[in-house]
Amino acid sequence: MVARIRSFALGVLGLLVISFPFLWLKLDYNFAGGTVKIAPNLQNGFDFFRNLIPVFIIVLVFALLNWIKKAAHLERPLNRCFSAIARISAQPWFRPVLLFLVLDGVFFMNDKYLGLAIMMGIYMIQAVGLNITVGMTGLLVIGYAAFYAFGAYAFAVAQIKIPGLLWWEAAPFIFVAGGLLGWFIGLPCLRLRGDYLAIVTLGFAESFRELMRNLNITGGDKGIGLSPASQLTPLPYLTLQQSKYVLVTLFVFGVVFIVRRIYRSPIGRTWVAIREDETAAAAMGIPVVRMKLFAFALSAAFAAIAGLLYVMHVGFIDPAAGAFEQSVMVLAMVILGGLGSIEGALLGSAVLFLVPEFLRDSDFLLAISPNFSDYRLLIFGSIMVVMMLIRPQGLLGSRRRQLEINPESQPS
Amino acid sequence: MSSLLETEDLGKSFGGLKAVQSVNLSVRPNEIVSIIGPNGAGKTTLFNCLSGIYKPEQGKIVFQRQNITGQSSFRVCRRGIARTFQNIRLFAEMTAVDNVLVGQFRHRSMNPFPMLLRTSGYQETENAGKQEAHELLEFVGLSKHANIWARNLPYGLQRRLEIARALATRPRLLLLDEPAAGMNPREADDMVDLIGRLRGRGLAILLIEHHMKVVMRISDRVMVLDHGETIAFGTPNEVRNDPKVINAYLGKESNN
Repeated sequence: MVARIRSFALGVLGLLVISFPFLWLKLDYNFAGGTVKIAPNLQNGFDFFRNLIPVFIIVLVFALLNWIKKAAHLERPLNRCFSAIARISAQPWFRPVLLFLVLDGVFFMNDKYLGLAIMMGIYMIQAVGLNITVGMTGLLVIGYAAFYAFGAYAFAVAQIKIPGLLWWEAAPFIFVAGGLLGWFIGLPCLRLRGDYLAIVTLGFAESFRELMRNLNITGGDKGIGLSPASQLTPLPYLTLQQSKYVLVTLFVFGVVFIVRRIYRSPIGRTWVAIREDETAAAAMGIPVVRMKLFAFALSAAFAAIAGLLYVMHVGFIDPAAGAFEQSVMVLAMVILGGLGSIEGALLGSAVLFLVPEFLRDSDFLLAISPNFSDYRLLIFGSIMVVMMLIRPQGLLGSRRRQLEINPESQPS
Repeated sequence: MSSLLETEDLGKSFGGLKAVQSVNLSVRPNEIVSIIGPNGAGKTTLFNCLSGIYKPEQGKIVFQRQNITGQSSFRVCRRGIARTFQNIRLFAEMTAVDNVLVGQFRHRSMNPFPMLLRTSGYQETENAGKQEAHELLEFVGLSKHANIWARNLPYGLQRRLEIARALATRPRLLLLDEPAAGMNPREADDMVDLIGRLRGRGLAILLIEHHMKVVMRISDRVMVLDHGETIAFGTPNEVRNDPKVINAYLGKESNN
């Protein structure tokens, strides 16, 4: 305990020393005299730490929850909460009823909440897609947003070249093109062992974004808007926003359906086997490279579909969609929810998307931390660090982990 | 009788170290061949060459009259050679039955569309596969532990699960790398019994083992390796009385 406190204190001290010149000092340029003077800048330092208060609160809450769990000897409290739902969700009627209920929401939400739900759905598709590579196959992908931006740009550019192109005409092509792009990016690095894929996708994402910023056809920094002919036409009896909500909901259910079925099939077992032990998987006759490529291509294809939905929703795409921040956010969703768990990816994306959105408008938060939204990434970072420390398997462990609890088959 | 597996002059070295040199091994169908030798004699390297994890530098490996030298390990497995590992390499966070199901990979179609649609044909093969997996678990004595994570199984059962997983690939030849390592005499006896029953399934078995009792009891032939070279190859009795083997393996007899 003493050692832990000491190392913590040393860490804080080191951080203070390193950050001292950046946070607490400033340079006063005297241009007339040509001299530079170092002056203290206390306001800046105080503002910085004030803005960090939410981060500290979040970390404290997590630590407190962990402490309660240990003190009260709660085994897997989250899984227990969800086990009731799990029993219902095993019923054959569960998915249709859930789909009906979620679609029903269209009549009970105003445009603002519909907008939030649409964006959340788009993040859910990405999180479930990324979960295929990061969670199930165990391949770290950092530049996932590139495939998302690719899907959006592919449709935006195509509707310039082919006036009047409709989204559903383009969707299959974008799905396949996204998968092929993933395959090409994965091909050189998936033949190697180790986390080369992380670096390669990171580099690809950055260069893709720069490419989009510098091409004429993609409109550079300004981006491209959809022409009215290519925008979504409202479904009968529904407004435009409501139609988008219905569309995105159907896509989320479709993607979850596909991923779940593949995950429970021999292909999914193969992915998990590769994650667990690549050498042993190969010795069991599994073509490791091919299966990894398939996982990565599928996940890239889902990202491209999410991008298509995004451009349909916003009606506009610019290079910021492919930003590093986006990739990290989706990765954080997958890790928060639980690697390898589809429900976890859904929960993680809901939490990490909705919580900042609601906090953004909160007066309380604005009072204590005026520039809260600038610190979003820092908060994601701290959540990830805390999660890794106290609950490395994420909020919901994977389904296969839950299968493990089978009282009759415990060794005596 | 023709050989199932034959190596000609097989060699592999790491830097200057010749881990395996000019090994001429042959395994006939339904035969148990043991490989013994002191630590570092190249036994596991030989296995890794046979199963495609290492590429041998010299010689060739012929399995069922086909040259499989230097093929990658999943192709070798598809030809019908399955293996277990010395340091157990199960899929730790999968249940025992899922581990065995992964082993069935090479008999399963990987077309994703039937899996998406859950066609009746797909469901039949899936159920048949599960049935087969449970039978294999029963065969190795793990039927009670089907739904436990491989990581949480006791050590002896993990070794058995590795054998079940290897059997799921329906091999003609099974390479067992120290299946009785770290076992007490009783467990080792059970392992001998299991290996005997494996032979009853019509498999040929290539075995690395340190338990001399196990080796001498079940092997048809024994190969002794030392410093990567074959120093003896013959029936257990021949090998036991070979002075070179006694020298290398048991140490020089001292008549004090």
